[in-house]
Amino acid sequence: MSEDQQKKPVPPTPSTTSTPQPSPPRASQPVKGPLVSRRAFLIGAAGASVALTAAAFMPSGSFLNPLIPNPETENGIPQFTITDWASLDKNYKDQLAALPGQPLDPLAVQHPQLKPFATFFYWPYGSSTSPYYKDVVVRLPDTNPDGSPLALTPDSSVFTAPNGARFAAFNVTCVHLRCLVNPGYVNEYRLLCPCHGSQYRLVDGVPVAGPAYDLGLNPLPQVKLSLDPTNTKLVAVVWAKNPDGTPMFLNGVPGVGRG
Amino acid sequence: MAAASKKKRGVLDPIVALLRWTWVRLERTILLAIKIVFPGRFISPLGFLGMLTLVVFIILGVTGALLLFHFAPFFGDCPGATGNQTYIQAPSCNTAFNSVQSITNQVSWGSVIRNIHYHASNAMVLLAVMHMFYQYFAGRYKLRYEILWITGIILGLVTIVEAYTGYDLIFNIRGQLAINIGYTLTFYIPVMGANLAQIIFGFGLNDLTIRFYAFHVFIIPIIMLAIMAVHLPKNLVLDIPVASAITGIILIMGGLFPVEVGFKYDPNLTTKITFPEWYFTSLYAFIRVHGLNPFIAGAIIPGLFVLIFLLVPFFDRGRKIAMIDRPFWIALGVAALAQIAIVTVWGFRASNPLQVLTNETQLPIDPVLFLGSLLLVSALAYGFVYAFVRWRRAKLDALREARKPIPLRRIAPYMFSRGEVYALIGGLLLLQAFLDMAIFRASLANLNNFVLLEIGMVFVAFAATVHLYRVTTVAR
Repeated sequence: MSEDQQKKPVPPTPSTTSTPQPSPPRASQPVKGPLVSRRAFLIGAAGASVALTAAAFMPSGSFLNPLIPNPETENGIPQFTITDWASLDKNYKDQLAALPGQPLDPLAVQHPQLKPFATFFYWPYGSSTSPYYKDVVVRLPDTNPDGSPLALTPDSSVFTAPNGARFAAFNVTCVHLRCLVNPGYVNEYRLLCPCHGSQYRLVDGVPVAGPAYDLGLNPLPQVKLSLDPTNTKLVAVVWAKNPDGTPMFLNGVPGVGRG
Repeated sequence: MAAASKKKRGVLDPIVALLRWTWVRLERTILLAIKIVFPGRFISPLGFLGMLTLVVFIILGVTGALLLFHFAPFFGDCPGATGNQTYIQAPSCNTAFNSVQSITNQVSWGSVIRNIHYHASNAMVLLAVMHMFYQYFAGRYKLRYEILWITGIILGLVTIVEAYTGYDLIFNIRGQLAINIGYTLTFYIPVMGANLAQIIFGFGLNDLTIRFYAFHVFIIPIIMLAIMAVHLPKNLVLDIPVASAITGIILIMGGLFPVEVGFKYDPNLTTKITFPEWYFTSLYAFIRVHGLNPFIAGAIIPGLFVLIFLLVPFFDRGRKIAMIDRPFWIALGVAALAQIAIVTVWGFRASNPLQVLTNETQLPIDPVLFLGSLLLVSALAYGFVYAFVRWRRAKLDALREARKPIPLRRIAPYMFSRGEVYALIGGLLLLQAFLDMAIFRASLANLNNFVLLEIGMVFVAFAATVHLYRVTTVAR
C-alpha cells in the first residue's frame, strides 16, 4: 500500500468551507440542522467566559503606576525659593576681577579658590524625589572672555534683577540619555553633559554640539524666575497654566525637552 | 535466612536503613527524576558550562539572601543647602548606598559576602556567555535543541537584566548613570515607552529603589527559575571538583580584587563620569557613536544581534554538526565574538580606542571608524574561517587519498602510584587545615580580603582532593 492511498482526501465538511455546497437530501442520513454544533457552541461559550474573566483585570495595570508626589509649595503657592541673587552676582563679579580675559568658571571647579555664580536647585519636586527635576540657575555673564557682549537669542528666557544682572535657569536633565548637565565653558558658555558629551548654549539651552545636537533633539526646559517680596531672593515659579487649568511647572518635560 | 541473621550488625546500619528508606520514598518525587551525573574522571568543563552557571546562580542566591538582612531598599531624604550655607549631606541621604557601605565596612563578614555576590555575578554573566558560544560552535542549537537554545538566549538576557538591577541598587554614581540610560531607552520604546518607563522605574528615587529591589530579589529570579525549568536538560553533569574550583576562583578573585562601593550618588552634588559594568560597555560604545539615535544604538542594534542568534536554528537546517561542515555559521560566531570584543573594549576607551578616556570631548565615536571596524572584523572572520576550512579539507582529502588514518591526539593519563596518592592527599589535607587556621586568625583580625582569598584556596584544595579521590578509585 503506497502512501498516497493511505492519505485519503478528507471530504470538505459544510462548517469548514466558505461556500457550503447544498448536499442532496438523503433519506437514510438526515442533515443535522443547527448552524453551530452544540460542541462548538459550548467551546465558544467557555472561551468567551475566559476572555471576560481576564477582561475583569484589564484596568488593574494602573496598580503599577507610581504615585506622583505633590510639588513644592510655599504658603500654599507652588514656588521654590532658590538663593539670594546678590551673592551670585557678587561671586560673578569677583570671578570677573580674578580672571580677566579668561573664561569664567560658573561652578568654580577649576578654580576652587573662587566662588560659583551658578547654583543647583530642585523644582517642582524636591531633591529626594526624582533626579530629573534638578535645575540650575546661572548669573549669565555679561561678556564673553574676549570682551564682546554675550548675545541673547529669541529663545532666551532671562530674568533681570533690580541691578541689571541677568539670570537664566534650566532643567539640567540632558535630553539625550538623562544624564545631568553642568554649566561650563567650551568655545562659549555652555551646559555640558559628562556622560556622552552633549553641549547646550547657556543663554537659551539649545543643543549646539554632541549627540543632542547631532540628533536634532529639543532644547532644555526652562524655569521661570521671579523675586520674593523682599526683592532679595530668586524664586522658581510656575511657568504657565495648562489649558486644563493645572500648573505647568517648566516649559517642557525633563529628559524630553521644550516644546 | 540463617546467613543473614549471623551477619554482624554494624553501628551504621540504622543510619543506612534510614537513608535507604528516605531514598525509596524520594523516588515518588520529582527530585529523583533529574539525573545528575558525577563524572568519574576529568572531562572538559566546556561541555558543562551551563551547569557551572547554575552553580554560580545558587551561590548568588545564597549570598543575595544573606545580603537581604542588611540592605535597606530606600533612598531617603536629601535636603539641599538652605540659603547661602554650605551644603551638608543629611545622614538620611541615599539610605540604600549607606547600607551597602555599612555592609562593606561594618557588618561582620559583610564585605566577604558582598564580594562573593559581586564576583559571582560577573562570573555568571561570563559563564553564561561562554556556555552560549560553546554550544553554538558545537552545533547544539539545532536538531531538537531549538527550545533549549531559545530559552537559553532568553535566560542570558534575563541574567544581564538581573545584573543590571543589582548594580543599580547600590545607588552609586555608576548605578545612577545606568538608571538614566535604562530609563531613556525604555522611554524611547514606541507607543508604550513613556508608561512602561514609569512602571519600571517609578516616578522618583524611592519608587525606583523599591521597584528595582522587587525586580532584583524576587520577580526576575522567579522568572529565571521558570525559564530554567524549560532550559535545563534531563541529564545534568555535576563535576564537583570543577564546580568547587570555580567557586574557589570566584572567592580568590574577590579576595584579590575586592569590590568597592563607588562614589555615592547625591542629588545635590555634581555628577562625575564613570564607566558602566564591563558587560554594558559594548552598549555604551554604541550609544557614544556620533549621530546614532540612542534607541537604535542601545536597543535596536543589540536586539538585532540577539535576534540573529535566536533565529540561527531556523536558518541552519543542515544535519551536520562538525565545525568543518558549517563554515558559514562558525564564521558568524567568530565574527560575533570579535565584534563583542571590539565594542566592549572600545566602551572603556576614548574615541580613538588606542587612547585612555580622560575628558568629555573624547566621548563621541566616529561612526565610519566604528562600524567600519566591525564590518572589517566580520569580513576577516569569514575570510579566515573559510581559508582554514579549505586548508583543513584539503589536508583531510590528501590523507584519505593516501589511505592514512586521520590522526587523533590522545594523551595517556598519568597514573599515580599509591605512595603518591597518599602523599598528595595528606598534603592537601594539611594545607586545608593550615588555611582553616589562617582563616580563623584573619577573621579575628578583620582581614576580610585575606579571609576570602583563603576560603577560595580551601575550595581549590578541596577540588584537588576530590579529583585525586575519583581518579584513584577509578584507576584501581
